[in-house]
Amino acid sequence: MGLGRYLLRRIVLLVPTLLGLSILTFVISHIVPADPAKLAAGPRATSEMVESIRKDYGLDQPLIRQYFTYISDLFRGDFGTSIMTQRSVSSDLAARFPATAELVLYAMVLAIVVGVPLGILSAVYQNRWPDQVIRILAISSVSLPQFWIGILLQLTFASSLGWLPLSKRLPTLEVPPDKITGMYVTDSLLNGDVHLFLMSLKHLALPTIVLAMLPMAIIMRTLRGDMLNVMNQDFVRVARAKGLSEVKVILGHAARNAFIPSLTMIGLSFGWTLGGTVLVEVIFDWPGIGNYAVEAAGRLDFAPIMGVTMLIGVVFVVLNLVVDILYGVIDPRISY
Amino acid sequence: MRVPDPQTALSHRFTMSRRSLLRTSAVVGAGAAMATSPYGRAALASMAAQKSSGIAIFSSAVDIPNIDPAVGHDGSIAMAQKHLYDTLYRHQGNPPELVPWLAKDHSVNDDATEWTFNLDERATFADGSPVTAEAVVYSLQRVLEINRGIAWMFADIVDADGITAPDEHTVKFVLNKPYAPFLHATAWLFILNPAIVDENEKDGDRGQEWLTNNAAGSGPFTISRWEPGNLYQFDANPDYWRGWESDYLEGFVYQVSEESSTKRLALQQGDIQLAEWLSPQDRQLLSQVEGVVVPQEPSITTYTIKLNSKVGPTSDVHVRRALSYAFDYEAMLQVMSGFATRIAGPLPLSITGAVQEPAYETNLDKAREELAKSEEWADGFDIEFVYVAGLDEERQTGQILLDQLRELNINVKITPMEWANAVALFEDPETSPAMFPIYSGSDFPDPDNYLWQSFHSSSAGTWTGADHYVNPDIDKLLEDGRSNPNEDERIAIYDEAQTILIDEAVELYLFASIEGMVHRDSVQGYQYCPVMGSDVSFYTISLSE
Repeated sequence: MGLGRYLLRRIVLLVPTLLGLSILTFVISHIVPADPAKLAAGPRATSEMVESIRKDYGLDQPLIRQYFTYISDLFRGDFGTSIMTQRSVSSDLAARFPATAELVLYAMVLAIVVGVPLGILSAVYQNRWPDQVIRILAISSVSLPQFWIGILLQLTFASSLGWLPLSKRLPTLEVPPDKITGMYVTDSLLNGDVHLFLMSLKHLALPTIVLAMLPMAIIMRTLRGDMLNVMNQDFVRVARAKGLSEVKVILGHAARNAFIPSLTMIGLSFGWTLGGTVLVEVIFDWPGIGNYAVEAAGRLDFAPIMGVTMLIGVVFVVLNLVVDILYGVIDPRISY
Repeated sequence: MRVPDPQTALSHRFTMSRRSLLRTSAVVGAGAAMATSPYGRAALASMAAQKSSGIAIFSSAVDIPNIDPAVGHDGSIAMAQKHLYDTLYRHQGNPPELVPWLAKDHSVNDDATEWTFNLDERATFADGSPVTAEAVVYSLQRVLEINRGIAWMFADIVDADGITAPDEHTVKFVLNKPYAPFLHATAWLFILNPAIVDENEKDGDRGQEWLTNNAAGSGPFTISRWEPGNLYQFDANPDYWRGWESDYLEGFVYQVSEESSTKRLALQQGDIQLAEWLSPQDRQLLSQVEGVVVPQEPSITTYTIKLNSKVGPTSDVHVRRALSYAFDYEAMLQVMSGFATRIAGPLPLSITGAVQEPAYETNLDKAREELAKSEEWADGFDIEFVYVAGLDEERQTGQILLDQLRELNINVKITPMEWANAVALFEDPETSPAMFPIYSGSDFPDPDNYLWQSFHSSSAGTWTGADHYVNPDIDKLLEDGRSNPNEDERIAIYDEAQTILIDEAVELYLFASIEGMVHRDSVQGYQYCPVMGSDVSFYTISLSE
């Protein structure tokens, strides 16, 4: 099978996957006993007021009809309207998703750039002091609560040293760059605004570090294990016997072969990180979709809950597809 | 979310650093210390802009989802609405008083059914057109037609044709029935510019979509930046029809910042000038920081524990009284780090006619005596305390109960729950929690606003009526209080109602919070008003050099 056909098959398979996700999310968010119309109307609302809201949002319809209305709107690119804000969910997502995407993107870049070398180093120096130090770093990254690390970094780098800003994407009175992608670092660069570029990078620093810690630890530990497996295999011994330098043996032979399982973990971590930005967004006042989803869940506002879930779902399956394609790039033995 | 202990220690140390002191002494957050770092230099330009522009930055935990005066109604929305729109009367000061605003004065007939307001001829909308009586009629009719938000304040008492404009500057309301607190309700009727709304109407929506994040008012501020979920910028209207008393702000920014510790640090280093929704612990820490003012104003927000009066042990008045005697009120005030005042009954102490002396003090012997009078529950029982997940003072309230009630052989099960799910439970007395703590704010400082929503039988099943308390005597008193225009007689009526509600221990009456917007000392002219959405008015605020 060629890559084209493989891609086509995978894209076709996305449809049932996302439909399944939509059914699951829809059912879960609708089986809870709470009444979103009543919540939106407030405690003093008359029953007529509640009924009118229920009717306006189609909540008086049978569940199955509500689902089909939702899905048919979704195919037209309409994520519905928030019952609490009466704003279009599509426009809310368009405003907020780039903020989260930017955060996750840089966090993953940081996690990979730091995690991969440290994972390799950890394997090369197995059970010696670099390995021990890296192990402590990995365990700390996994076990220390994000909000605790976040606040500690704020106290140190923003409050005490004054090197980095405390929160937000830009200083409050700074006007954001003209929107191209919605990601401030990219947009300010594309607009040629160096001041805004540096500003947005600095604002990105602390939340990125906090968010990167978990995937970085996962990458380090996964790569270390896979490297150790590979380094005991015959082809590595042969490479050494051929007289190749240790750097070439490790980077050119061992690491390349050990990277496939880590690549899977990187892909999955990307998705997990995207779905787990809430705490970081709360601490750093980052107006992303994590915060948006939690607010919506607290109010049982179906349309935003569904919108965020579907969006993350799409990104997750697309990332998996990208990872699958990358297997073939890294390992020529894998073909489609 | 709460701040972990290590932070407290660190923050004290940082507070004392030279850099922090410099920053604290700087105006509007721009500090010499910041210029010493690359970030400081970069930020300085922006901070200097804040200073010269006189724009105050205000952080709050709550978003402003929808500012349409006929739709949105909560604390943050009301704050925005009160800066963008004017009302006939408005609440000011603490204790809050009603002052004429768009209206110059008013008259009312003897049975409080006909209210006539004379409008201030000077009043103009932001576009310069006059605020007329027709605009008032239009605004209320729009509220009644859309039937959301504040509609409940008017829907039962006035019909669309009950409001008329006899002339350009006179507006008359003819109510269906007497309603004594009507003047308070007018402080929630935001007057829209009909021409602007009609211009932006889409598919007969009466401008709803447009008014979600645009304004058509006559208030002192206009919208200049609207980034949902992030920040909202308001610019002063230099031509505001009431004029400006002193140096006034060029504008202010309302930014969403959920985490209390982030706001505390931002206030400490002068990044922001005002903040709300700080934890009691953070308020206490900030009270020790130079350059930060932590007001201690008695609010009219009460904190009580709703008791299910229909089902289970709390349906027995002796059990409810036993719980009232057993509760450790002193421990509760300690949990609030002093930012709370004990209340004696369902009303905050500053409300006219509120009972001032608590009938229940912590006394386990009296609690045992009361419990012994119960036929069914005297030997003890299991009881559930449900609270809103994430609210730490509520969790600690449960722990106080757990500790105290153990002495009475009552086992308390503490259950955190999402708010939306809890509200669903309240609908039915069979599912309504035995004990549920709740903060009750007020739309206006009148006994009717507190007592009707909690204790009138028509409120049973809402979250404010989670007690499911039904008492025909109380219903009668509340209906009399609502319809009687005589202030002295109303006080006597509500006194009688409170006596019953306290004697029957319908709720555990715990405290009214001490509030006030924490702010930098560069903020001048701050006035607190405890009515929802009025706790800060940027109309009176300026920033000092």
